Amino acid sequence: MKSSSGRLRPRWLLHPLVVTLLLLVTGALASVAVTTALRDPAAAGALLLLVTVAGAAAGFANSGST
Amino acid sequence: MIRYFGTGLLLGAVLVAFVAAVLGALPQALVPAPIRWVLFGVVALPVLLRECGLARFPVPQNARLVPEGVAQLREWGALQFGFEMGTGMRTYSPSALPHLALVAIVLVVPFPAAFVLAAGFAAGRLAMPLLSNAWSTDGAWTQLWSRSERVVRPLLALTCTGALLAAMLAV
Repeated sequence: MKSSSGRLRPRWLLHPLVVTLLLLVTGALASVAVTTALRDPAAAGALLLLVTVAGAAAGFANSGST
Repeated sequence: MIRYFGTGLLLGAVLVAFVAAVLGALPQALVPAPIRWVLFGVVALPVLLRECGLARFPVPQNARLVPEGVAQLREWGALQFGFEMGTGMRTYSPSALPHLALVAIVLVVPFPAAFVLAAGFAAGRLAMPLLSNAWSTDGAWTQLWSRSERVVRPLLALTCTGALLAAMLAV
């Protein structure tokens, strides 16, 4: 598919499953980071990333609702 | 227009998170953490089963469709519509994950992190119109969602529940 600027856009990136897997992987990495972080700021950052992922998954789950 | 909608989503989600976080301040201060963890688990497990299609029960929702005229809204209308959607009280809620996130804010998520969770919720809600518009103009993305739902919803439930549990245990 071509965008308005004429560049090719990889359409698979827009697939719901790809977005879901992206969230899953990010959540898994953040879980590992929050348990292995050696410094407090890193642990806090990982914790915030975790809750962001949780919120995003909750918001995205209602995408079928219009 | 999408910027106004997105801003409205964020404002609505942050408002609900603020109210839930204020309500949750008391139990978070007075109830010991292990008891709150168990309470959260008691809510999370049925939600996970529901999202995986293994249990069926209704969740609180505003059971009405978004009116057709919303598409013609101007800036303030888009902001208001986004705000209502951001509160999660504008339309149907097929998923129970927003409810679980709300319970998490009350029981286990620290006060400042509640706003980050709200921002994530708004981003997740905004993803649908962004992806749909980028996919095509004929609403085909919604059909794609319907076809993928059986796989996507359990994965999202796993992601949401797992992330909340990991955050809960890390605090």
